[in-house]
Amino acid sequence: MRRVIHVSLVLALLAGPALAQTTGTVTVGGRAVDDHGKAERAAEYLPTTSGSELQLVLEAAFDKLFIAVSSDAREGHDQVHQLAVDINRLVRSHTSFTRLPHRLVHDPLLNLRGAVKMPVVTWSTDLDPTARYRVNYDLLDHRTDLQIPSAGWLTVSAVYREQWREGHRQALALSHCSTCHVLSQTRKVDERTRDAGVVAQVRGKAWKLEGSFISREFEERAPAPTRTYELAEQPALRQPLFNDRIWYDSRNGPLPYGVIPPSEKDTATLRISNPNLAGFSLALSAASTRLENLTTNNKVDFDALALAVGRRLGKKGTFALRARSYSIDSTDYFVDVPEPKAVAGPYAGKSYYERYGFQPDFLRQSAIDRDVLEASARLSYRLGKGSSLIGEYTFQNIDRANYEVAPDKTDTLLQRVKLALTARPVKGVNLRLEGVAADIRRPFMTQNTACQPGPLQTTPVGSPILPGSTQYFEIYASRIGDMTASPSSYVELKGSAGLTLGRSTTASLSLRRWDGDNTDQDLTQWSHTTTAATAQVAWAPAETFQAFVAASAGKRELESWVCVPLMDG
Amino acid sequence: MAPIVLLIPLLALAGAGPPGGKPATTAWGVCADCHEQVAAPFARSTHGRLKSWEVRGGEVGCAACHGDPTQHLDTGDVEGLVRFTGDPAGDSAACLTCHASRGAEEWSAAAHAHQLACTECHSIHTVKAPTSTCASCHQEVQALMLLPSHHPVKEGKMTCASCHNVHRANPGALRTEGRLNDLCFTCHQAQEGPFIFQHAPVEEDCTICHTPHGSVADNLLVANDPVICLQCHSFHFHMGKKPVDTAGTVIVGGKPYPNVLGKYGYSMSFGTKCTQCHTKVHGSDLPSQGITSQGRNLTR
Repeated sequence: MRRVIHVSLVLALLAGPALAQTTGTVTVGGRAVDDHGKAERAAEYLPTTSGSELQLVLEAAFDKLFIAVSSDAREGHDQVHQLAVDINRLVRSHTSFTRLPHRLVHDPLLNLRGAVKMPVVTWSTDLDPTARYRVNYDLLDHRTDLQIPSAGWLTVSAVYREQWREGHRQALALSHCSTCHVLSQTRKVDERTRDAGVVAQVRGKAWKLEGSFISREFEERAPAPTRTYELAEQPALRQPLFNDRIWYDSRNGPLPYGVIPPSEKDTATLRISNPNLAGFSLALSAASTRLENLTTNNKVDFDALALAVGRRLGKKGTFALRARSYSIDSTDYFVDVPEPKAVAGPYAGKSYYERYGFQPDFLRQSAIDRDVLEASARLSYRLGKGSSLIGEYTFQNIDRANYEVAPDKTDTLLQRVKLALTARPVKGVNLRLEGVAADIRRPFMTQNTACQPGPLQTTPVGSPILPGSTQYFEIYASRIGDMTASPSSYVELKGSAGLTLGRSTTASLSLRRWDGDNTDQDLTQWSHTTTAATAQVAWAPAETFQAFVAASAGKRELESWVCVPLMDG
Repeated sequence: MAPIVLLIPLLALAGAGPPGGKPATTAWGVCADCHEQVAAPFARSTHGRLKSWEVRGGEVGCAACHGDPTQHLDTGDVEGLVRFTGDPAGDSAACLTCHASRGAEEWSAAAHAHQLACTECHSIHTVKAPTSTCASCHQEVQALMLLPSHHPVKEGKMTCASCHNVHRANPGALRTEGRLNDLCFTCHQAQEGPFIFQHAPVEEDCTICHTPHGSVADNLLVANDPVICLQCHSFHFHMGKKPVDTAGTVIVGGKPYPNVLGKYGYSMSFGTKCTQCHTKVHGSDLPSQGITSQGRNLTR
């Protein structure tokens, strides 16, 4: 629980003769905070120390220069600052800086305390059990527009965005075989992201052409944590029987984990538009993105073409159409899995492949590769002042290159219909009703991911001592259940009513229900229902005084069959 | 700090010669005689600072939007003025005269067009907070943002406009030229990779697991771990192993291990939180330990 008491004093800056067009306010305040020691739950992004607060809003207008500054600072890691500069309309820039704390949960891992009779145990070690984790997030965002009177049709802009995440978080690493042992330690976070680019806009009498190029660099500067994995031993016998099935262990020394690779991402866009081409508004755009993991040189290419068209139909009707086609193509990656040989047991000197015939090497082809075509068409009709009726149809077809969502099927087809009514039956009353129904043929699904059909083997699993036992890859391959967290159909109903009471009070009530299920699964079923209601009253008797009360109730029901394999190896 | 460096030479231009075009003040000065409360903040607004060379037709100030004030000045009659009454088509038409080529190129095909007049969200003479503007219709979204896990919108560090551009025709009015995932990766680059060992739903759509407006579950998840995982995966098969029934200490390899949870220990280890071991659910370039799983278990 978190309680905050704010006390503020607002000082209006008086205009002085030297800066006749300067206005602003300074707000000085303080807060008292009590988070009951659970700051990461009660105040994920807020300061948890009592202290002073300062807000400043200042605008200064000179003959050829306008400057606007605003600051909101609560403590060192909770700030928002903005600076806008306008130099005679030739140069217009906006810069903002945001800093916030992000408190992170520290998992004590106390559930990892188990034993089975072989005996084998699970356990955990926390090297920094009292640590409180937090990352400070900083964002600098800047844009400068340049425009000159002799070429008012051209605007050139420079954009720059830099993001830092600095702090510490929990880093977990699992070592298994001899035991299942999770090690927790503190890792430093020092992520940097830089976006820099240019935007050019050319405006003709009717046509406008806009192009942009943004280049992004991302890197984690802090070193990855390391772990010396434990010796690969058969857990019950404590003998080196598992060397043929473990990629690395203590003999490899300390190894990094949780590595975050640096990357580069370049995005180019081009848009041509005309607000009135034979009665139609038209915007045609293209976007192209190149993403590269700079460690592995894995690449993802994204290319899109989009069209947006609008047209009025008589005095009260409108029509809008939007369509987009895009493709994603990424690098395939051959994973060459090492083949160590067993050093003990009946298969000493043989690799896992040599003994079981299982080829671990594979070509990784990404699930992201796809061709997508999507479109939506909308008709709206104005019933009167503040009242309109809207109908919309949306279509999306995803054809994946490497990922099947049903046997021998890689495509998903979504069709969605929406009907919305906005009404203002009497002055001061607003009503909104919206219904959406969707059908998704072959939604995203994980094939053969659960449910073995029955006992595969009565003998213990995976021990070289019992050569005929079922191996893990055979257990994986025997699964027959398709599962998903995506609906094959859903209905969403939303309604809200707003009421204006006098000049200073408003009240509103909103309701939402989302009901979806998936009947495409073969063995299991999935359904999800959400019902939520929100009521609120706002009272603003003066510009500087506002009171707001809201209550919200929600209920979610998720039904998803779970497979629990019973195995006592 | 490159932007600050960039600003320094630009500030030097403040004393540059006249850019041409009449300043906005001459156009609205006469209106300010009667409409002082509106005119004072308007003079400092972007519209109030516009130069005629920026605007097609060269008209700036009050008349640029409200039309010729001659009749109004003579008789006080407002009928001849362009007034903004909340009519989506009428109000927007005046705004789109300029903004159809300045950020609202796709407005006619955008989701809010024909439902909302520009003036229902934008206050031309003063400034309205974007969050409260959206929440006046989208109360259910505002309510979600009050849930325990949320983006820092109510803390004032993000706005709806951080992710949405309602002037565009993109699905969901998302502020991206790419997919929804690309929008998420604007801030969450560490999850973007592209990785060698991948998790298919991450490549498919972030919202399979995350609900961006707010959640009771941690980390904006649709449901907490392990429920979120178990919608697509079965429980770990080690959960079914016969446990040591009694709490106490178990000796393995000559070393003592606590079994404080007794017969529930093993099922709690494997059935509580998948991500304690499968930490890299967004993908990794490093293989997990087992050759039998081809290094694909996302534990490293």
